[in-house]
Amino acid sequence: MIRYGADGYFGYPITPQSEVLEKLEEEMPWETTGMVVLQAESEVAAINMVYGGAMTGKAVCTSTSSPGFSLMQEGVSYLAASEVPALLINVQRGGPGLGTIHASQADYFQACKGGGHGDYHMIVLAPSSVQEMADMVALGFDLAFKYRCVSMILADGTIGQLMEKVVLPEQRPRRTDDEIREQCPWAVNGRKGMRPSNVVTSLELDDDKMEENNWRFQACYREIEKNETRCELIDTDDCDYLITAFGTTARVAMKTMELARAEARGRQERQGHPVR
Amino acid sequence: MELNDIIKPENKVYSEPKLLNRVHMHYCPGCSHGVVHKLVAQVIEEMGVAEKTVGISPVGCAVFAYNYIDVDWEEAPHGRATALATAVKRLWPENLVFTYQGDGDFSAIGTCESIHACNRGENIVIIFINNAIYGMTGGQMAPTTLLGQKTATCPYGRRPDLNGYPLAITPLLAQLDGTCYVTRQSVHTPANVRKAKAALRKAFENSINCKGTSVVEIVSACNTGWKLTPEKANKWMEENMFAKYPLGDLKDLKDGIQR
Repeated sequence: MIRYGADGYFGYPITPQSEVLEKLEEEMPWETTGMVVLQAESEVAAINMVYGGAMTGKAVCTSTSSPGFSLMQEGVSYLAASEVPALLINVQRGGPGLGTIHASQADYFQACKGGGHGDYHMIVLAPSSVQEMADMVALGFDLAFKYRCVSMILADGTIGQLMEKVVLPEQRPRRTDDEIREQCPWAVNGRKGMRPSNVVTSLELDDDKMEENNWRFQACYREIEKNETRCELIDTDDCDYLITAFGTTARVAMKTMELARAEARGRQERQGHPVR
Repeated sequence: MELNDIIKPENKVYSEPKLLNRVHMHYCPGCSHGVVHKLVAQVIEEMGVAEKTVGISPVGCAVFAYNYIDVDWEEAPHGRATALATAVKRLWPENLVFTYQGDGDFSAIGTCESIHACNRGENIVIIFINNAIYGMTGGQMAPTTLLGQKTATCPYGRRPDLNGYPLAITPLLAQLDGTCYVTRQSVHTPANVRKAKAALRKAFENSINCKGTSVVEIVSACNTGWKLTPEKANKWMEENMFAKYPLGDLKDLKDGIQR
């Protein structure tokens, strides 16, 4: 986040991802890049700080784990309805309820179908390694600003706690306030030069206009589906079976495929078939 | 004498604030919101800070404050205005950031965010309209509803055994180390309007000068919710509300909070 040039992080401790907030406080980015880091009083407050910051055009984010992400859903719905960019990270643990602190992928539907009230979607990026986790911060922010929508990184407790070698991205400078005003003419940060006032709201009492808004949201989601659907294809050219997976499960799936192919190769050799 | 001879700049003692949009307000006749809106517009204009002002409107009667005062606005989820304001002020530290919240928004659903923003000493202004009732949803009991007061959800009058006691949140906030200015005002007479305006000015200057959190409670009339005429509502407010919520400064740290 610091290297991306993010402007603010607002979070609340929850296992298994409290290290994000701990590390940010330890790094003190407000002394170097000027990034704001704040421990909120709850996940509800944290997501609303993200909402408040996002509406000003700044690059803001939060991270949490499953029960915390449930608490944030109201705010996510408001972010989506207001068409403001933000990056959210859910390092999933097992549920429902207080559940377990161990890894899970049980929030898949919550992430992919929206999660809060109303008909909205987020861009969901699912890393299967620490490297992807690092790379997806920049990707998530860039996509959020490109489409003025919410991006989330859907990690899981194993990826969240994993130690792996990682190549960190180059430090990007934070945008200046004037750059933000130029890039985000819709943003709420004061009427500089006495421009017409900006209001960001998710409220629309006129039913026809609310319907229009929803058509616009859906058109944006279709555009994102068309342009931004991503997956890594491994040895799919000659496959008889296709395994799809994300996160930690993707690593298990890759190994499974490797073993299955080795076993098949052995069988083919024994039977005198050509090995491919 | 012609009209133009009377109305000269040197004779002018009052004019419509330019930052107040020329639209019909949805507030009921007799409601205090309109007066407070006008004061906010006046003070921002007089301070010349519209270019760096961000208001946060609540959920409640004042949800449409952004239609009336011509500055940049964010519209918050119910109760979360101070969380939004926290981020705005931290990310844009030179801005004047204020929230405008009713008693349900600020002291019921938003109590957690309200107390913690004040406790962190966020350099924001909280304008807290206390009319002891939920106006927008049709007159239900608020945390600030007085004992014996009848509302849609305590139709026989608020009872402490059923509903607990009226919550005076402002004195609690005055005890916190993060607040620099906590005051309680009203806008039901010209003299009170002037005092309230001076309080708003002081609070706004505190935000710009990063002196800590300022809370300006306005004890307000909701004649519709109270089912009284505007005149009787003001009288009822004086006789009943001021006893529980007395006017005046609760805290005023001239040099701001200690950091």
